[in-house]
Amino acid sequence: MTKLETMNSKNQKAPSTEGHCQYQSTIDGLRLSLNEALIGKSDIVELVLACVLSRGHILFDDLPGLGKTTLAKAVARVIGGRFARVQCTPDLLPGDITGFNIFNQKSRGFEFREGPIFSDVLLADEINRATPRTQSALFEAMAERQVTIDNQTYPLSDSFIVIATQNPVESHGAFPLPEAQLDRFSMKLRIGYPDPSSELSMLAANVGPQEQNPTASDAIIDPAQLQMLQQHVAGVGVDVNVQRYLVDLATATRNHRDITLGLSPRGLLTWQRAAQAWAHLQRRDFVVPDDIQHVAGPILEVRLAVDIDSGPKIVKEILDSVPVPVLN
Amino acid sequence: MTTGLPTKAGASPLPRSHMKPFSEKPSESGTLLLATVAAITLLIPRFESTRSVSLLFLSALLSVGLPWSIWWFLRGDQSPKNKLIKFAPAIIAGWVLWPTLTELVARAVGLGEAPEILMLTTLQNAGLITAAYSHWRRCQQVACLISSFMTLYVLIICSQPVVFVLAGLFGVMMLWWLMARYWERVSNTYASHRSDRCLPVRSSVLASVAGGLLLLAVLFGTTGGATYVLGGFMPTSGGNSDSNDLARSGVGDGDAMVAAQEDASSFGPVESDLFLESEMPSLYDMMNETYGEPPKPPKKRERAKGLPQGNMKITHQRTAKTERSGKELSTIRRMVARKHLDLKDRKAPALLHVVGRVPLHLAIERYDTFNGRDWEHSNEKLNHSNLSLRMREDKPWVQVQPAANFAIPGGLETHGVKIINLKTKRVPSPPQITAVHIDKIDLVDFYGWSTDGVVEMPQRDLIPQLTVLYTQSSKVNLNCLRELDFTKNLPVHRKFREDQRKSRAAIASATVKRHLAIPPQSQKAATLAAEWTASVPRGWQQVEAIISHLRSDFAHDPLATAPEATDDVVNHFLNAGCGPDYLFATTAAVMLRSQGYPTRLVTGFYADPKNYDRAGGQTIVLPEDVHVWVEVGVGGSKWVAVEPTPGYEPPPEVLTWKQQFAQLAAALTGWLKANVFLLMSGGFVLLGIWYTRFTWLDWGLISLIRLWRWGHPIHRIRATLYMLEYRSWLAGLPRPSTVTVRQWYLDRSQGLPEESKNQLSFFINILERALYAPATLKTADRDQTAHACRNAIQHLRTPQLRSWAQQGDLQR
Repeated sequence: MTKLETMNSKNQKAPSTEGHCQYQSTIDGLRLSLNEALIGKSDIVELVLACVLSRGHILFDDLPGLGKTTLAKAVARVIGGRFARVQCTPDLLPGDITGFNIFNQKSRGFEFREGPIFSDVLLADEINRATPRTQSALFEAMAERQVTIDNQTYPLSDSFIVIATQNPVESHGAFPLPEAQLDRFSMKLRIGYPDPSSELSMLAANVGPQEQNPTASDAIIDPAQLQMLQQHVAGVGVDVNVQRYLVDLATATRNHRDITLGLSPRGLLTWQRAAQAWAHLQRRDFVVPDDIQHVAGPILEVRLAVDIDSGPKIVKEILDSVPVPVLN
Repeated sequence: MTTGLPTKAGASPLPRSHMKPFSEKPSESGTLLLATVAAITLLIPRFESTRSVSLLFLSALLSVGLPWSIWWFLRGDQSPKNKLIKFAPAIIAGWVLWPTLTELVARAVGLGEAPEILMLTTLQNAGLITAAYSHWRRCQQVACLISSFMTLYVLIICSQPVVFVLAGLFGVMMLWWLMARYWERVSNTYASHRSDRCLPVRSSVLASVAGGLLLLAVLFGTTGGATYVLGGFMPTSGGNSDSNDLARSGVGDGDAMVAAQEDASSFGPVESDLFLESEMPSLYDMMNETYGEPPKPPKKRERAKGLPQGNMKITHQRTAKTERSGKELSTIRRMVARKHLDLKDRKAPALLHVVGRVPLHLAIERYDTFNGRDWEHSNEKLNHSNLSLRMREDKPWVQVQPAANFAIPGGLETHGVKIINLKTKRVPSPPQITAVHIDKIDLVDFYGWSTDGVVEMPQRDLIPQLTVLYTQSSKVNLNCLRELDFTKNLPVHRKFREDQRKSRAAIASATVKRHLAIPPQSQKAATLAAEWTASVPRGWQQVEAIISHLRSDFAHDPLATAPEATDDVVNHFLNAGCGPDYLFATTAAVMLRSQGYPTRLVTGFYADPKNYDRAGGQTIVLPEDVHVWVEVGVGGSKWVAVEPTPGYEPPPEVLTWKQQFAQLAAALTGWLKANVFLLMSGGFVLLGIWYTRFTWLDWGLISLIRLWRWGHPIHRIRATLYMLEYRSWLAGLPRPSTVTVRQWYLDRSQGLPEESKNQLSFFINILERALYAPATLKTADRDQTAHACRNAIQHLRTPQLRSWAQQGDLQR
């Protein structure tokens, strides 16, 4: 047994660099903190982490009260930086998100007032209640990390992430997100009900004096560190066979009879990056087909125009139609 | 499989073949299949004319094998980086030129094929190699066109029935191919467009074919004119007075042949009307005589040919005898020292050409009386039935002996005999000859029986050179003779009534009497024969006993002649234990006679299968094929040949299918009885191996993996994975191609103890590194990987996997 342990530790060290190890401890801290915020949902937390590391935007899509906002706030808290929140309503205007120019009486000129989008983490709550006009205001920001107001382009923070939530049930006064915008999200996550034991511990934790509002001191990392982490994830190796596997999977989505809109090349790039992040979370410095299969669900469901219920089934069909590259 | 693997860290990995989900198309493999069928069709005419069957099959296997393997390697990986694709034009051109190059080598060593066959082989290779690249649609078209042309061409030049069958198969497959292609095109309009790489495929194929032809023209055409070159490509009527050794058919079959005018495939000039105009002594001269014209005195053009020294005496005496029948054959001969033969001297002139089954005994003369030293014929005529003429397929056949009432069943067979340098008026006849045919000779009195019982042409001195005779003879089924004492009760055809049988037996007994006399001094042979046949029932079995004793106990030695002072050669032979074939035959005849079996001595030729000429489809009979053997009388005029000399094959015995089956069954049961212990122990061992097969297979695989110990760890890891995959397959739990290795093996190892599970997952970690990040795997990790591989092999044994498979079945 002792021999085996040494072997295992050797294996973990052998392929890793010193920096890799250091990043792993940071990630462990993030993971722990997020799991404390949302009890009993470690698999979702893992995907959220993968999304953050791959510099992707997240869309939470679930029933009310399952902890979407809690988790989004926790993410914003642990990665530090500026946090902003927009509660979307039908009367929300684009300027309310991006900011606007106002006339300064003293200087007798226009000056730019930054909106909530000039932050590191933007939480757009109930995004499907905003009008399409407002939703589109997010387009440029999400894809290019910049906003243009009155012909003036303002760059956003390098670690800018949008965490949006939406409620699939309420259709009154809701505007479904357009496909173009859906493709800009990295993953769609569904939290689901916690299991009874988690609910028990949640109840137990809620008895007694309550926590204060999150502060900057709770942050595990700062935006600069996050950027370094993201850079490191982008360097995780992907073998040409694994890439071919990805391409085959993309082709399969385009040929599937139930999918009207196949995977876009941008979606393919997102998928590879998410798989890299997932591989990194598994303490590996290269991507294996397992990683691709693991992140396939949240990646594909957000951007393939399919029913909410048939999503998992179609993803399974696609994965079952492409052989895994093994010995050839 | 490991070819695409980079061994150096950092080297960019070659694209490995990888199954694409929608790339498999029936028309691609179908094209290659079509080309292969065409190649098999071509094999038939090639086989007909080849000089080395094994070389032919080897080259055919190579021609088909290489394109198939190219297709196999291309099946997965069709990227332009693939070397097979990058060098496709070079490969195609090289393969098209390959037959020409090999032909040059083959001709240098005396093999080779006819020019038209070479051309077809070039086409065959072009079709096959383009079919191998049939993922390019234009290649499919080219390959299909070439294959169809080739099949049609072969259909024209070859008339074997199997070619028609193959061509039919080709047609059916072609239809299927066209349908597959049509439906692929239909589905392609919906599927995403796959762009073909623009390569000058068609032009490269055409250019290389043209280049090959040009090369041929230059090689063979530099010495002659254009007709000479063209003559090499197409069989001509011989107008260019050139003969090619390698030609498959047509004219130019050698200097002795006369060009045919009516039928290019005629066997000899008698069948061609040119013969009528020639100066040679001809049978048709005789026909003219019959019809009233004055006969031309035949001008003899034949010269006496010098025969090799060793056979000179016998041959000379025998041929001399053919003209003056009834002379003696002395069994006392002077021993002649054989001259050392130079290669040049071996060019002995052929006496006869034989078409048909060989070995064949061709009788020229027969003897019935023996005085201890010499054989001679008593000049008493055997009673033969009258000759009659029968037309068969518009050809006149002269029936010399009724075939139907021959008592021994066995069917008929036909031989063609072409007289080349044999001076005789006798028909070289197979045993039990029933009919003779020479084209256009429809006169019965042309033939007759000589006094010693050989079919001859009584009114002629010689059968002219290059005459083609066809003979029909009955084959022999000896089984009815084995149980019957045929010296007392003659086997008579059942259509004769009992009284007729008796009278025929009486006639027969008078006839055979002189065939039973033995010289008085041959008592020793008689006692020995009695001894050999003591425990054998009377009948053919006794004959066989004597013959087999002679064949096994005595040695054939052409130089061990009897001394001139001997008055009984049989005695001398029995004491010496060796001798030439006429002593064997004499001894056999005397011994059989002493036991009451009528015999006569036959001299003639033995058509040796060794002298079979594949290209001509005939057997050449040379002066050294002169032979002496014995015939045993089984009725008044029925004589069955036996072969007492070892080294000469006895005339074949015909068996009914019942007899064949019985013989086979008897041989099988005999063998089984003899080897019962061996078989039983072998059976138990096989049973044991079957029950422990997984252990054995495992053992073999593990030993194979040990071979990878010293290489880069990556090879070892891959080999281990191969083994795990193979074991799962054996256990009926093969990993589906869409499931990753980690999921498949770790999910199934849940029931294993913790330690084994850890070891397994450790192995899979290393495996994933080897598969998906091979550059990061260092040679230094060798010990570690070796340990992991060993553990994986230990924990995932086939029985373990089997138990998982069974659990899975139960759950289902």
